[in-house]
Amino acid sequence: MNRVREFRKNRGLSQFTLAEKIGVARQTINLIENGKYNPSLKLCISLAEELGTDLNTLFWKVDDTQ
Amino acid sequence: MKESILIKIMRYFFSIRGVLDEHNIREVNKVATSAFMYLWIYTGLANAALLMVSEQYLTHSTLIGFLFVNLIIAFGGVSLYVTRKVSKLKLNYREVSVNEYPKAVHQAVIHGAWFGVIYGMFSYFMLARFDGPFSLFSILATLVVIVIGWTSDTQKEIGHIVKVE
Repeated sequence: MNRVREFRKNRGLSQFTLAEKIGVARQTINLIENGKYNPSLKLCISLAEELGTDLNTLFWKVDDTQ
Repeated sequence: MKESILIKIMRYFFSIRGVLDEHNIREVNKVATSAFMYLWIYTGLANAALLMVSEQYLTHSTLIGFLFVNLIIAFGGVSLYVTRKVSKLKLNYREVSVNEYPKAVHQAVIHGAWFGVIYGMFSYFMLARFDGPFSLFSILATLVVIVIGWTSDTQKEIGHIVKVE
């Protein structure tokens, strides 16, 4: 799973606010957070920029057991 | 991002109100491809069936009937299929913030008015053919259709606006 939800919450953003900022639907953010949709590279970059991080930190494999 | 005319047409005819981002466009494309495939199969089967029909049955009225069935399947069937899928994907819902809600309601009223006027014009031309262009019945019936179209569409549009905190 990716770390979009974690970074979004750290920045105090709701799914709706984040979606509005990067110009996508709230459902898309929800699908990305739940690992049900693989966004395009362009959208990944927009997300990383908005959440103030980089692609590696945001999308590289996260061990859920830790 | 500026939307193409095709997307605008699809938005209008299939009541797509939400943001059409890459995920939603992908979903709409999937639905459109399925609709095209169904239509393609139907066209092939229907025309093959017509070719097999003996020439003595191929009268003018049979062909007109065939044409009507094709139109009903092409417009009615495909529209119904796409509208159902769009509804299932919740693309006809529009999420707005509390501040933007009044503006969204205003847009819904304007949309409803356009819907009523277009529907009313269509009804007027249909009625005028039978009852004459200046008939009181045609004019009053058109006004009733406009009001019904306006209110029903506005109600439907407002019902599809979701307030998000």
